[in-house]
Amino acid sequence: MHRPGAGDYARAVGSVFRVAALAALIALAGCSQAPAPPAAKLWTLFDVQTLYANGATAAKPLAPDDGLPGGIPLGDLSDGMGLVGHVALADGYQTTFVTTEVWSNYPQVWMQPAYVPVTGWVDGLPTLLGGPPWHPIFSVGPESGFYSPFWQIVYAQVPADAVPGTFTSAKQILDGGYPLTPSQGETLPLIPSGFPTVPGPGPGESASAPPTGWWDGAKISFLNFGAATFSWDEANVVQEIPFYVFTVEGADGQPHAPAEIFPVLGTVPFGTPVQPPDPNTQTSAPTIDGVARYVAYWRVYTVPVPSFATVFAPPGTDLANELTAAGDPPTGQYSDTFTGYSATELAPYLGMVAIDKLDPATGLPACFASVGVLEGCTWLESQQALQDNLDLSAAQSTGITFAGPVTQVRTTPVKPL
Amino acid sequence: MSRRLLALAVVFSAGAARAQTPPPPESEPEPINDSDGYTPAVEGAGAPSPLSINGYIDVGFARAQGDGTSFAPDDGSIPADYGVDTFAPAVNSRGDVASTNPNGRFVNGFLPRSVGIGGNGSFLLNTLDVDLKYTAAAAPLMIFSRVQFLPRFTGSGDDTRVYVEQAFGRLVPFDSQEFALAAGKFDSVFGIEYLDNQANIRTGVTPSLVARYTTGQSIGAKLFYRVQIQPLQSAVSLNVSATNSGNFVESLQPPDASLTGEPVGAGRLGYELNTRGIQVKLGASGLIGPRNDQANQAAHQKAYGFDARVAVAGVYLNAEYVHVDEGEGGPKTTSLGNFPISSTFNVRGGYVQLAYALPLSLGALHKVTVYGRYDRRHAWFEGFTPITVDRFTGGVRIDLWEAIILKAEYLDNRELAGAPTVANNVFTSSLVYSW
Repeated sequence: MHRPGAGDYARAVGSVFRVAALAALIALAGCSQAPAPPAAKLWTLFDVQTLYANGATAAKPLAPDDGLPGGIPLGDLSDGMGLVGHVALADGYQTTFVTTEVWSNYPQVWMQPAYVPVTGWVDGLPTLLGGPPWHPIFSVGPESGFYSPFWQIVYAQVPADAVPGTFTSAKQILDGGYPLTPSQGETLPLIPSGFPTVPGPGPGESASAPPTGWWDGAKISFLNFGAATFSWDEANVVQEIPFYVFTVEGADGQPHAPAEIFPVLGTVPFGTPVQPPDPNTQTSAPTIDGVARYVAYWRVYTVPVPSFATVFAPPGTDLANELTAAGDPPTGQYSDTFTGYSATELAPYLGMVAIDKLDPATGLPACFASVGVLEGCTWLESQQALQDNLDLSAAQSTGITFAGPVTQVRTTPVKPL
Repeated sequence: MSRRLLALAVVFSAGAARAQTPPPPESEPEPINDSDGYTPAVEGAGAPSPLSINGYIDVGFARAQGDGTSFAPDDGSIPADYGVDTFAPAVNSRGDVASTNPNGRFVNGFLPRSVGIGGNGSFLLNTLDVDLKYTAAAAPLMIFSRVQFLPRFTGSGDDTRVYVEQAFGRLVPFDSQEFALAAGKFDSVFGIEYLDNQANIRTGVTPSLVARYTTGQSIGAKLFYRVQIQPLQSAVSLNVSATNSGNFVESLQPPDASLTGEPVGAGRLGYELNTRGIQVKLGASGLIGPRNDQANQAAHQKAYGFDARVAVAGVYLNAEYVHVDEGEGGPKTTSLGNFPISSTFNVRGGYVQLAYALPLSLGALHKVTVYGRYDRRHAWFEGFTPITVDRFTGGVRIDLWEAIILKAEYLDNRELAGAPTVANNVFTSSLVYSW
């Protein structure tokens, strides 16, 4: 997004003023103004590729001033080799998600239409023009501030003898007057040419290459995270679900968000009571094909670790070092038993936050006595646990939202629907 | 300044070319190009009253196809106003359209004003215009104000406005020079179409598809200077301004406050050939500065354009080309409200208008003018499919006495590329009483 230099403007206007000899009036016009409101900004995988190409490193923060300490590192989206999976807690279990887009200062994002030509319907299922794989016609490109990876699939019933590949633009579909059937919402991030793909292929898609659709008459690749990944209202605004990030107060008095503390995925909008988990699946998210389906659109909330809670961070771990570096070193006397475990072995609990009462002898929850009893801690590992145990009025809504499809729940890959 | 020179200055302020060159045999009662905006001509042979009150009433009847908008019913893309031309179904000289109702779809402030009639035929009181002009007796100063009453009823109820379109003072400091300084709220200096903003001046009813970028008023200061080259029956003029918002119409960029703290510079360099048989006026315009629909000073807008007017034997040819680029900025604020994003935007467009005026002396019937105009506009918001639209406009204008104008025209709007085809042609008419 090229922005002409201010110098060109200043020189040109300056010349005009000299001719006009109206400097006094201009000085009046140039009085200082109130600070401009923050601009909305969107980073797509196209921007990620451009940033890396221009020399940015994975540590480059995106949206560093929008409420999340440190922003979102560029490397959280891609390490240059493809999408990067991150672990979060949901309903008491570990899930893996990827980040494909980041928005700052967007009050809302919208679902956009993607048209799919079909020749008819069989048993309620559309018959794709030319057969699978599908090639959706996207209505908005990734350069737009109104782009989002959340699309409503709109099936357009074209003549059965239409030539596959004929339809490449929304105008063709709309001008054709074909019957339109708005259907499911799907998370389909557009990707630049050559972008490495990580997610599994969808129905009819080749495993060796990303699927392609059409944008403005040209082919464009996309990732397919499928349906049941978001909901929307009558104005096509995508519903945002909270993504809780714990913060600690550093020696500088400022909040820090250690990357090693697990974030928590919500299942309902902020402030809405969480429904009890399904007794069969143990999740509060809807389950389809045996897998919990979490949303893919999140707003980041920061949650200060309360004084009565303890982050599990035995000495010598990366997290302990990170907390120390932030000026909030772990307190309490961890058992020597933890020194015999590797970070991998401790990983299921490292970075989790417990609210159990402290043992005066160690300054730690009693359930921190050994690895074997960690499971008995009361962890802040779900939106339900946060709502039940914390005063979430202390949680801060940030200006950051992101597309973060969940790719694995516990050990089960999430296959796109 | 002597009274004679004062009179000269006043005449100059309305159109010095007419005062210094023989008028064309069938010249229209319209302002001369290269003036610094339309103001009423001095009337009567004697010394004018220091205070004059002029104005007009524009009563219309219009009907648009479809629902009066350019939104395609099946198009669900957001914002609704990015992939179509919402200004196409214009119904009056202000560029107001039949409707801007998106039926619940989100819009992002790229909208004209609406008269709220949808696809219904309706009588309209487009404008009640009151102009006050005061010419100081003891100073080379003219003070002018134009207040317009705009009765509207939209889907949200009574939406009537009282709008101060112009309010400025103009100083002519040198008796010997066509040099004027003005400060206040005044007409555009870009191109030529702003000269036809008012219904009692415009040949037809509706503005062109690019008028939204060139015909807006704004607050600031401006300078006009013209040099006559008598041996060549020619003149060269310069008209420059520094204003809050440049020349976009107020529905796109608010003129009444600077949102960035920096002014927008604009100007036009013009050439005139004024002979008894033919008049030619050529101009090149430019604009540069921060876009005034957001607060980021680094979000620039740049525009340039070229214009031409030729008048010969009752035939009038007007043509204009406009090239506009706007950079991405912060949250958008226009006269219509607040919107989340000011997107990168580009447009290239223009029009050609041909009119023939037949003077008559049949009682009240003074003149009949037939006209046609072709507009074309190619525009794109970043990340959206570029759209190309065009429009054929044809109409007739009848002048009765010197106080009544009847106009009727048809607008054939076409979506050539990008934008979905939609029924948005318009029949519109206008009855203008002037005083």
